[in-house]
Amino acid sequence: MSKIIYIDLTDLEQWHGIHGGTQRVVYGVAKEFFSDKDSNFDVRFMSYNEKRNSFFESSFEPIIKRVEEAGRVTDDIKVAESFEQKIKNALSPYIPPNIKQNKQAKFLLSKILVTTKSIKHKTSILKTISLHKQPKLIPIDFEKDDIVLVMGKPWDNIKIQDKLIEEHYKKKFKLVQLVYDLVIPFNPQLHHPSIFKQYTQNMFEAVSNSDLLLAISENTRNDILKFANLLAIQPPEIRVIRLGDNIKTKNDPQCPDTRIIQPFVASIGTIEIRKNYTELYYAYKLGLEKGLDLPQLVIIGSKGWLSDDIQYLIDNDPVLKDKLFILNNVGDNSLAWVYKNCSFAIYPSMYEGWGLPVAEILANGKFCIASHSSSIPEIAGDLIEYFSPYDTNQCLSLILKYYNNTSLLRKKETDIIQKYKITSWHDTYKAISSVI
Amino acid sequence: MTKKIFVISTFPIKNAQHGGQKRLKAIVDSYNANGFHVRHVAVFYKGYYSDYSESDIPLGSRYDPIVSQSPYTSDIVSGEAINLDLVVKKKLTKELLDFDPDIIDIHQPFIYLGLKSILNEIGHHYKLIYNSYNIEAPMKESILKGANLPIKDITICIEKIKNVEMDLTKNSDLSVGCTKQDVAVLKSYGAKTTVLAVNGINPIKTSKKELDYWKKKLVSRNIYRLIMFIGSAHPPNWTGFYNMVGKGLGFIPYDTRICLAGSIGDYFKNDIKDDNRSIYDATFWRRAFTVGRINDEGLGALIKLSDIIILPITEGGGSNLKTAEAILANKKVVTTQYGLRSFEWYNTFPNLWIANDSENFRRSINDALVAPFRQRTDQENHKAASVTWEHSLKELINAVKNL
Repeated sequence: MSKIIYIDLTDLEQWHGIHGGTQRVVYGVAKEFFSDKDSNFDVRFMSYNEKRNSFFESSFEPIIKRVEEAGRVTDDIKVAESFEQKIKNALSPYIPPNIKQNKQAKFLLSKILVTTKSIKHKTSILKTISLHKQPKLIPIDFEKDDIVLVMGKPWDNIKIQDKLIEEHYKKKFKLVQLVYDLVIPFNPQLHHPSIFKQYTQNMFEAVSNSDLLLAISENTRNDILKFANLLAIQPPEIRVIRLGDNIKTKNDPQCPDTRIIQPFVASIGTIEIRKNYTELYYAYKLGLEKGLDLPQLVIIGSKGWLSDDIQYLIDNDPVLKDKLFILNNVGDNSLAWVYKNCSFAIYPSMYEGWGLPVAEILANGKFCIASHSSSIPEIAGDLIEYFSPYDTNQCLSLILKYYNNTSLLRKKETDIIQKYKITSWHDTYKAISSVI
Repeated sequence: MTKKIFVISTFPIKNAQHGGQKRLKAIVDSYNANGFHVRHVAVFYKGYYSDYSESDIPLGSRYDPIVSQSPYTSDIVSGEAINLDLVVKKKLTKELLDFDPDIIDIHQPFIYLGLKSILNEIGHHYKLIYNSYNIEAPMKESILKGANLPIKDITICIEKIKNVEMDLTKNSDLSVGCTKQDVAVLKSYGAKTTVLAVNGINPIKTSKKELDYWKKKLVSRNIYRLIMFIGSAHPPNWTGFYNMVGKGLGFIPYDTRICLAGSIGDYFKNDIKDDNRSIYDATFWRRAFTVGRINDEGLGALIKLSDIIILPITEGGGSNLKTAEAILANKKVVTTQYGLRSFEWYNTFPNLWIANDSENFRRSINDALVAPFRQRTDQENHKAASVTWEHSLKELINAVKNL
């Protein structure tokens, strides 16, 4: 008899809008589990219900339907362009997750929106921010031989991790959790302070109580061990698994903005301190001050924590204007166009658990210059070039090196196409299946 | 004729919480129980104690700036105030003369910094007892160094303490030590007569109401195993905990908690705030909770419900009330060897883990959590009962009777 594996879909059920990194991973892996009819596992899905403080059976079908039918790109942009969504997007980075899940806060937000829009709009907003209603909640009675796989963001609500461990203690099932990174505990300056406590506490419980941890890089594995050592935790087995980097799009890729003129360079990732777009801003200011010819640089990413300063600088600098700008709401299809049409990419991040945009650009046969920090060099080794995330001159000289030398860039691209091994979500799924 | 004993200290004993208060209260109770006529007066810094008796002499807000400059020397400030603060001096002198004791029992040497002058002025004829709690000079030196005070100030302070300790020992008719080691030092200081009075405890008491309350509370929080750390907010207590247990409590299982009881809990609550952006602070309270200063029956219930009592004691003089409490509780005990001083006989008891470094200490806690509980022999039970005050103060009472 095949073992039952429960895959946690709590985040995906509650998530509306463009998938971020975490949602891509959960969706990518869950879809493979869902689709593999020859699987050795009896695949089931679950989600956490806060009101009842319990796990209930869930279904992947509505999620796959929603994502696939939307084709992601067009619908996501439509949602993002609506008035309500603009307000939500603007407020979202400043609302801590625990507040987001607070009923009173949610009610207050809905009241604010209600006063600004018509009844029609009110209905749509409430629909957007309310939890998906389950027609019937079927509680899960875990058993000893079951496997529970958590790949989402239980740190958004510590009650999820607490309930999970409480059940784990009682039922003794195998608890497997995916760890993306420990950026927040070790680099608190790179994130909003409100998330530090819950994230660190969640990681403390995950590392202390899981039977198996899946780390998305060697760097994350090392960070888990460091974290465990500092907190006197006996760490469980840790296996490193590589994330999928193939983007599948349903529609034809579309250029996301009319200002884009080829040749251009792209930098992809959430607009937040950690991604270090300030270095790119300074590199461009420095280059222009020296009278250098620079390629157009398009930064693509949703607004994240404390992103206002750099967004304001770039949005309002008349000297940079069409030379460097940010696009905040780009779906996967438009992103695929960017990957396909950019000259190369730049990734200046100060710290990563993996660095999915680097992997995705390489999977598209494009070259990248990237920060040498944390996990990033694990992605492609010497296929790409690195700079210090704190050295503007080094970053600028690498941009110029590849902008001014097309034959060198082509050679690099050829190397990438020949040597870079694309990881599909199926590969990731297989890797996970083989270790759990 | 009933002997009259005037007992004086730098802390009150009403609602006794910390070890020193409990020891003094036990001695006063024991004097009373043995027919002595006793009056106790405390000259103390009011900022540290909210409960005190009418006869006590609190040092009020005028002393705030002095104590805040050096929070670990309020006992010295109190001792000196006896002679330097005319209001204090007048009140204490009146208490002394009104009571007209046969014996003055001085607890800790600091009192003597000021009291000696008063005794000289009134031409005293009293017998003196010096009740030491530690050999204070080296312990205070360690505390003050830990507080990073200027070396020059520390040297002056320690010199002053050592002088008064030696002076009081020489001038006392009876010197009392808490440990064999302390008694040996008192002898080397020139004590006329010495007696060993190790620390003891009152029998642990609880009630069904408290037991039911805590049982329910612990289960509601998914706590099925309990580790007790009981102590006052006294520097050696938190230093020992940090050195041996640490702030990283990831070795404690999810269904287990360390319960911090006594004012040490208040100290940790203040020192470790889970909103601080430190991985230790954010996670510490996932495996620990504090009940602070709790009533005796509540503490008794928690001890009864606990699996392990830990004694992460690495410094400090005297013998430890916590150790006596652990022995009497008949629970699994994880301790340092240092924590067993004066109770060395307990080394051979069952359910005991001794570890002298942090790694072994933490491992011992985990070992103790899963180890089966072993019953004591009748002989061991009898010996364990000897840690009560009734037993430990016997020699002192006899010596006072003979003064």
